[in-house]
Amino acid sequence: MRDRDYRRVRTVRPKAGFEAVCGQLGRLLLAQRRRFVDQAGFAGRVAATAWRGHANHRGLLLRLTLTEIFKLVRGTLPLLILVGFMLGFLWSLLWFGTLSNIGGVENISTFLVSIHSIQIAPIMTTVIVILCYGAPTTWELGVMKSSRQFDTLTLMGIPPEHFLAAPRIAGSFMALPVLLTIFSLASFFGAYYLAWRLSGQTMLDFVFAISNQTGARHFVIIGFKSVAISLSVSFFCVYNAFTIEVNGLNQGAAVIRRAMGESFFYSVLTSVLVSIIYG
Amino acid sequence: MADQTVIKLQNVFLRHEDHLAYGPLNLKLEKGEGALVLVNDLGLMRRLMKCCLGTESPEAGLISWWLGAPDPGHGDCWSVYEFSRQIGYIDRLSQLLGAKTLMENLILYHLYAGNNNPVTLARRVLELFGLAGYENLRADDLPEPQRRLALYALAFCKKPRLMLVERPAQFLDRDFDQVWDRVLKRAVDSGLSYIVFDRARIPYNREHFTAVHAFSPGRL
Repeated sequence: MRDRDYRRVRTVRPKAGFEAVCGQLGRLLLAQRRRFVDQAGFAGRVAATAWRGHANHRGLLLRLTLTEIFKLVRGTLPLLILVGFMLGFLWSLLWFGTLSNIGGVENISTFLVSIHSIQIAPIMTTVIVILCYGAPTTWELGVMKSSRQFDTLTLMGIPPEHFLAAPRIAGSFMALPVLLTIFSLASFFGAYYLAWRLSGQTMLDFVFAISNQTGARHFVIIGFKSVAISLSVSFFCVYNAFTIEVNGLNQGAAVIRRAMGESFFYSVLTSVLVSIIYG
Repeated sequence: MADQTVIKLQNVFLRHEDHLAYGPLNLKLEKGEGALVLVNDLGLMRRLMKCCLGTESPEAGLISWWLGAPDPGHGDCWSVYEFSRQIGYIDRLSQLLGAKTLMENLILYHLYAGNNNPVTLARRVLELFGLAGYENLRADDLPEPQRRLALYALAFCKKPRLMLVERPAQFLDRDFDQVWDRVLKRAVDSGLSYIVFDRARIPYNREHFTAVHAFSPGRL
């Protein structure tokens, strides 16, 4: 009897449509509000400490940023080139094989420029950067945080946000446009390789076909997407590592999972927004 | 000379285990002086060090600093770092940056201290602390005594005005006495004040300290 009363009181008519979506979104935002505030504070601290202090600090920041760029490129470049080449090869295979009846040689350049390099390449690059750089960075910083190396930095008068967060964010901000370009070029080369093998198309023809399809708009979109993706990936990976507690290395797997999930979600979200705005 | 005072503790009490009050501790440290504070309990020792560092408050009493930096809590987040740069703090849980070599650690801290020739200064500090053969080892691979010495070397890099050291003789070997004498002589010459926290005064040379204070149970 009590159960039925309880159920009668607590029963809520399920919402439908727009109302339900808004309710879910509101509930999610309410649950995450503390985290959003914390993330905003962290971003503010990184920005505040990035250019303060002695002139040596800026030189050191530049040096650490270059180190991070080297780590990022060394970690991701082989996989980027391999995956880019294979993906281009695959598109070429599709357009010359299954889809040859609707265009073939003429349409592959359009596809590579308008769909592949703008929509697919950023997502693939994001995944590779998260796997090869984001997750290891989260783990490295998490180990440092849990083994009290952050504490020592703070007590020595060195803000960890300046020394550990800002170089990583700046490094990926600078390196990602180049990596994205390299991925696209590798896939162009992969596509051309099969085109050359199947149809004997010359390199010059292929380059002209690509350049005819390319406009300034494409470069703008790729630039905005690379900015959005680099900031999303680096910020969320670094932020999640900073949330690990001292002596809390057992949180490692959960934190890395969350870092990868958030990085991917916000990267895709921002790149879709850029596509909608400039598409 | 009040303008030479670095830190002053007045009637400082700390609560311990809900029923015991330790104190009072009255301590006035001038520039270039050293003090030894004897504390029996290790947790209490670290809390007292944190109070001297300004990151915690004592239950009763007053701590004042004259360090040429704004007091912590009176400014933005940067002022906390400005303040803590004036105090060298070495406790049992301090860690080097494990993935970097000792030389990289020293250069980093020198750069943060605003020193323009970090490599030369780092080599000088290595000689002072007897770490000359260890500069290319990763900090995680250093033996424990050398790791402790390296932490002191790091703390000296930023030229603090006050040094807080927890049990410096704990991990160190028998060569420690010579190194420690050399370091403290250099420190006093450069006008550094230091407070050593320990449980007993046995390993230390008495002439390094102008005062020895016992932080023992008392009445609030």
